Amino acid sequence: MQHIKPWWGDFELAEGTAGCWTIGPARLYVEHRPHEWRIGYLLDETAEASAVQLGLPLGQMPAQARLSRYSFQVPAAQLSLRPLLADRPVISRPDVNLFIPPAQSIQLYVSTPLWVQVRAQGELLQEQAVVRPSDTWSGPTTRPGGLAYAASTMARTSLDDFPYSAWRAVTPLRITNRGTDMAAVERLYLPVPFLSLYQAVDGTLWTQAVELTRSGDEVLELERMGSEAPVEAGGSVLLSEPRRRADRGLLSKAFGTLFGRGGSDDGMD
Amino acid sequence: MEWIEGFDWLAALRAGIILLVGWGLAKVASLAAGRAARRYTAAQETMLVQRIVFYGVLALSVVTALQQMGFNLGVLLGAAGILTVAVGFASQTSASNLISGLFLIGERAFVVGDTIKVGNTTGEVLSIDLLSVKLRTPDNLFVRVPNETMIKAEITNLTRFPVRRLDLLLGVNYKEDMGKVQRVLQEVAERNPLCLTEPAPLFIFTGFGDSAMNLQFSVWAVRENFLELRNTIQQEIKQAFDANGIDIPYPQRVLHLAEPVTVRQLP
Repeated sequence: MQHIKPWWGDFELAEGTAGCWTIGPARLYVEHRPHEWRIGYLLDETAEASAVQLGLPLGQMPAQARLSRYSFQVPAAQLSLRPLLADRPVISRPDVNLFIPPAQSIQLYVSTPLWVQVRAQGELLQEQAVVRPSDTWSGPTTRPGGLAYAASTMARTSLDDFPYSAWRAVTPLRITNRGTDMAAVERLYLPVPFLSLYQAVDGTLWTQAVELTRSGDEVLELERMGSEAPVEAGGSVLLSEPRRRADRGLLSKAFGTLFGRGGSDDGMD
Repeated sequence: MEWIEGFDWLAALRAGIILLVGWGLAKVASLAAGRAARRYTAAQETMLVQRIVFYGVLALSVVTALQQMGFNLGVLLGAAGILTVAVGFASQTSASNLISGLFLIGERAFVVGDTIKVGNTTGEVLSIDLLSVKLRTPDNLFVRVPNETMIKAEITNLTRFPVRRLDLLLGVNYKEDMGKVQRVLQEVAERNPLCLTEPAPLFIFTGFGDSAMNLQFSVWAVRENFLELRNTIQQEIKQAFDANGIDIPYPQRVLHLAEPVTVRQLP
């Protein structure tokens, strides 16, 4: 199993120094200047790593980085970075059409992109996607439904050679076909804002397991979400609580095989 | 003036106090009614409730003040009735606007805060009043559209639904491979995070034009990102066409000459 070096946690960044966090294809530069924090964000799609460099000299921020400044009256050195799950549901499409015969229950592993939350001196400064996923609409027509993020997945059935990543969290998914015919899984609706994020001992990131069921009417429905870290993660610690608490309406969320195919631009798992 | 039984300063003072207290009460009551109505109604209905309560309480205080002054209200109301008929004839337009306003509020085709298009005017709805609808255009001008016009006109509500479609009409050179053009456009849409993956982008080969093969490429965006997508995706399409050597032709004419032209070099 691949080991991921955590880029998240609490850091001390003394005034007059800078830090650089490499999170998958993104780089986050933080400079601590007198009474001011500067955060620069840069996307370099060729990179894929997880690294933290602290104590760098000021003035190393690339010119093309997207820059924000935050000013504080009283300076302090605490800085914390935290991974978060997406702020909308993620609709993940298997890259190859997946079919489940009747009366079968299969296990899939799907990963979804993460957000990074930056806090300095206890204040939330910014929260942004490591890689901004594409918007998509979840709903049978353009009137009912809601906004979601689109993702593409290989929908792996085992964890052998699973491409764990520093900027994606893995969700174990169990799909049960209780229908009488073949179920076509064209899109997987993952209620990501209602899930917690866990860190396994080896640094990999996980959410609770999710169970989806199809009961004969062409639509997969959310049956259950786990209440704790999945067994696949082994010994794990909770990194972040769900963004939203699940309500009854969540259980009516569903996805079907109603639309044509579309793409995604946020990588594959 | 037989209906005034002498002028009584004390009564006038009482009437004045009643009017003042009534005005204050009307203000308080309308604010309270507005606060209560806000929970159950849209912004323009809340405004309407507030106004009805304000003017209702004010009218009651005026009536009470007039009674204190010793006016005979029966005669006054009779005169008011005749006056109303006269005023009604004289102000048909206002009355029509008033009735139209009530229908507009009832119909709820748009609410305060929506962006609508009436005729050639597009703007954000500031208020839906009894006589007119007030709009603020994107270039920050104030436009008053009479309710009568609104009732008769076709109104487009740009912000009713959460997602919108952007239709791009393009032309490409006759030498291009349409399959390749479609692939390139599809990739541009996939790369732009503001372009919705579902509903999927739509590609329609609309026909053979004079100078180009015409096509329509339609992409969906969240309402709030519509303008940004419109700007970014057109730039990206131009860049992708340039990178793939796809030509957007200028209008062109092919001339066939009946007689060959003789070209002579000047000495």
